[in-house]
Amino acid sequence: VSGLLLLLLCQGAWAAEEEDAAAAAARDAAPLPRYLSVTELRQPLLTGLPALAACPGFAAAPDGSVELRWRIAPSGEPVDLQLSGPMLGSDDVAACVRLRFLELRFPEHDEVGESVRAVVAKQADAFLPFVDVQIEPRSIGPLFLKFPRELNSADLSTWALGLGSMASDRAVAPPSP
Amino acid sequence: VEEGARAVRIMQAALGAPVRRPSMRPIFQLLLSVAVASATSGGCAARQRSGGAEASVAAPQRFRIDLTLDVRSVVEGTASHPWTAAPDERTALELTVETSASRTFRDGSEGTLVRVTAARHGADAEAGLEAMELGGRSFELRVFEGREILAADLVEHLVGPARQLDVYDLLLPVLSPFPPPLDVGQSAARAMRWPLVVAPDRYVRGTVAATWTNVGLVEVEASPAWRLDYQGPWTGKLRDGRAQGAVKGTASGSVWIDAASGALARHDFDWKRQVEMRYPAPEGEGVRILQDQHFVGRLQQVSE
Repeated sequence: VSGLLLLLLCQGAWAAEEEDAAAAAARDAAPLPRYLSVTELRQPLLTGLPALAACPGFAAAPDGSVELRWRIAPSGEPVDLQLSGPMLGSDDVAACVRLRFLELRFPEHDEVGESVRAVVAKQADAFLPFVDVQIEPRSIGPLFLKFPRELNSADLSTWALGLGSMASDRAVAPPSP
Repeated sequence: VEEGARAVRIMQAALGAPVRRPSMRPIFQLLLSVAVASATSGGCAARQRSGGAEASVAAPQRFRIDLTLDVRSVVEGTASHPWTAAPDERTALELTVETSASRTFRDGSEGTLVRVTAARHGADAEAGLEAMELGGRSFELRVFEGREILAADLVEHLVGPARQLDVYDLLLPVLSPFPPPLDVGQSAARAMRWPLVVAPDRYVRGTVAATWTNVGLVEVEASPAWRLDYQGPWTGKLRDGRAQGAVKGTASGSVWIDAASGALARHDFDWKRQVEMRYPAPEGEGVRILQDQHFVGRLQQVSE
């Protein structure tokens, strides 16, 4: 009986291992993009715009704009949201916009701490699409050289641009009209 | 036989002897012996450790890599960037890697998925290392028979700050050395080449023109393995956008190949190089960086 139990346990362990290997192979066969493109960012923003506009007091605000800055976690979740702009009015409006914005989901990606800036404008009771989306990805810096550990990402980025190894980042593209 | 047994039972009935029921003991004994054999040969992990060709393809292989990197840099052409005053530095790197066959290409080359299951680095291994983003990421190593490296795909996710496979590109030939077939005591030349191509304008291509010697059959973790020593010059070309560079150095090491399975069992290495990068400037001479990099480490196959 103990032999049979051991065999059954081993069969279970082998099956679990094979499932893990299959899951890992499937995940690795379709790697996540290192950076998100402007198009990939714009779509969730456009989808979420009606929910933001429905915040009480937001639709009644005077014409103007709101600037949003946030980071996108690798899971696609927006984090570290900062709001500014005259349209926000009261704290209640800002809290509502914040809450609903944080419910948006962006595509998963393989970059850590991708920063995004966007502006939403309102004119004559119409909310304009987000027209100014800027991605500020972390610089991958010059390659093939070992950097001192005390160098931070800002230094690396400055240095990479200064050395000319990175004229402009591939992920930054002009927003479509 | 059945008829004979039936006749015996009829005779026993006629003589008044008790009739014996067929015993299940042999079946249990058989199952028990199978289970005991399984347990004594490694339990549930027995399938992974078997040395047959089928096992080496189907089951992932796991390796642990420990290395230290000593770096010394010289910068010419500028004094204004934050690296100028950086001290010489030693970094300890600790990796666990899992390799598994992923696909076969039409030219007969094999794709091997290399997953870095854990990666930690720091100044001192004894004082504690911290996790780096290389952990959890994978690339595909495409090799010909004999482990000759043809290409490494998906590496763009493993380069740059905090990931640094571009600095540790020697891990490719460390994982996939390419010794020639040799008799004991015999020596022959065979180069190891590996391209780490991040993008068309970002790559390093390395070559070690090694001379190999078959030292003989030795024991590694109680298993017989062929030990092959090598040494030779290390050269390479680099490109990083507009910057271009070159590599010069030497490489030496020992590789242990499991005699039964042909799998890589261990790889000790001591590789030195000088990386020269030239960053052009719109005006003036630009920047020239020389960096001495000295890698010393060991790869070892692990069962867990």
